[in-house]
Amino acid sequence: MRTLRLVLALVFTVILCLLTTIMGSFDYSRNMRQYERVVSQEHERRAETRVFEDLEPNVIVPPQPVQILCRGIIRAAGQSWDVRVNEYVIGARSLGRSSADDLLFTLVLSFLAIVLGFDAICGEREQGTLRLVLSHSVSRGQIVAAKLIGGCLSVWTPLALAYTISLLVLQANPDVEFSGDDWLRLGLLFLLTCLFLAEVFALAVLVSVYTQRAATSLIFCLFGWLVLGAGFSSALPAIARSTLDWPPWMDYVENRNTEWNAYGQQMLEWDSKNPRPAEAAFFGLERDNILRYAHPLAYEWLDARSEYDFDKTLERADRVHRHRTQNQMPLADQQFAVDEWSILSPLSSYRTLAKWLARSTLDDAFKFSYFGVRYRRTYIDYVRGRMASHGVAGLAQMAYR
Amino acid sequence: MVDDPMAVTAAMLAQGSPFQRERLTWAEARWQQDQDDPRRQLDLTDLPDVGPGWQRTTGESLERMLPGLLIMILTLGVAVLLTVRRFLTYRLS
Repeated sequence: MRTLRLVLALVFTVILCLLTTIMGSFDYSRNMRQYERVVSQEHERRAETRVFEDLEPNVIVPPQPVQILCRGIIRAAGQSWDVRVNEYVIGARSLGRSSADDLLFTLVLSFLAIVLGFDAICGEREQGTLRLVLSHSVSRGQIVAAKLIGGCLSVWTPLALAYTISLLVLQANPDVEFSGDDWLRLGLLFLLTCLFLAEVFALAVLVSVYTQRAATSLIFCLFGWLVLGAGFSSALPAIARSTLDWPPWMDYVENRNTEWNAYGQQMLEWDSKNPRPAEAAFFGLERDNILRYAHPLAYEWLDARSEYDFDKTLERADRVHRHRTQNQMPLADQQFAVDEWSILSPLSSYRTLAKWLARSTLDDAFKFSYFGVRYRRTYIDYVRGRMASHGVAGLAQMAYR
Repeated sequence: MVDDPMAVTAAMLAQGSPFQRERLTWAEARWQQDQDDPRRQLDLTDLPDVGPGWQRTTGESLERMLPGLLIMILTLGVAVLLTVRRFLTYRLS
């Protein structure tokens, strides 16, 4: 009976693992094509750009192969953070998509760990084999240790086989290239999964040693598996929502409008203090997004205006971004709370830890966004440097496009 | 270039006026000149690189995972301990 369960565990795990990995591998290749397309478009755009206003270099990063096994919110897709000087982009853009859930086979494996462990003690007691085992000159400690180690090896074997097949399938895909760090993460992911399965098996044996009948033990185990796994994971977002509060969206809209009005007012004041030169100075022709003016007066005036405009635009962008973060961050906090609290359940913690390891959580998406924000600052410093050395003539187009 | 923009009159600005045609010719010539000029491109050689640091290092990931890992190991330890304790006094009848 136990051998049959083990064979079933092996077959189920290998088939599920093979299917999910093949799907993930195809998705990854498609995402890689999309990433390459976006990078190529970005290079073309930069080559054709004639003014800094149009440059705005986007931060583009490739898909990560470890995420094929643990897709999370990033789903093994490339990401792009669009640099905008006059505003902040909220969040990174996903460059691809991938089929829904991951970690399916580990959930199935955890179920099989329960199936293998629920009658480890009480089942043998019911059949009378436990009495026979205890009649030998083997200590009880050794018996229970042997049961735990043997059971763990029984669930680790299908896992090792499925994991090896997964890696072989992925290695067959020319788009998948694991770095040294990726291999380390894959090794840690395997160890984490072993720990998780050992934990579930030990809990099943614990229930088995505290119950008298195998049927009772199975009911307790399945109930616990459902409640601590699916139940806890489903309840967490609702609990997080009820404990966290966030302001209405209209608060942000009003604050944003106020900032835009203040900015408009500042520009009006500047215009009133610095009258525009005669209209004839602004004669010109616009081609390729560049307006060529007829007289240096126009350039001088626009240089001064654009310099002021540039500073005020950045200040406005910072303030609007602050309002938006205050308004939207509680929504993200909700998901952060779900991830934080999920470690409390032995079944849901594995999913979160595996996603942290594969860097596919919302937290990792935010890290990339913060990186984009930092790069925007670096880029603005670079533009300022160019303005200082070359004048603002190129940027003068900003105001009068 | 317009030498004296203050001297430009409304009649000169009228559509199709000789002044306007002259300006257009000038702008077209400048545009053509720019088109033929290979230097007419942004010099982006010193554009800052994006560089690394956009995702967590293995150490940072493990640090992030530490509380969850400890809970998992602790749960496993407690489960094993309770199982052994119970089994040592397990009654077969």
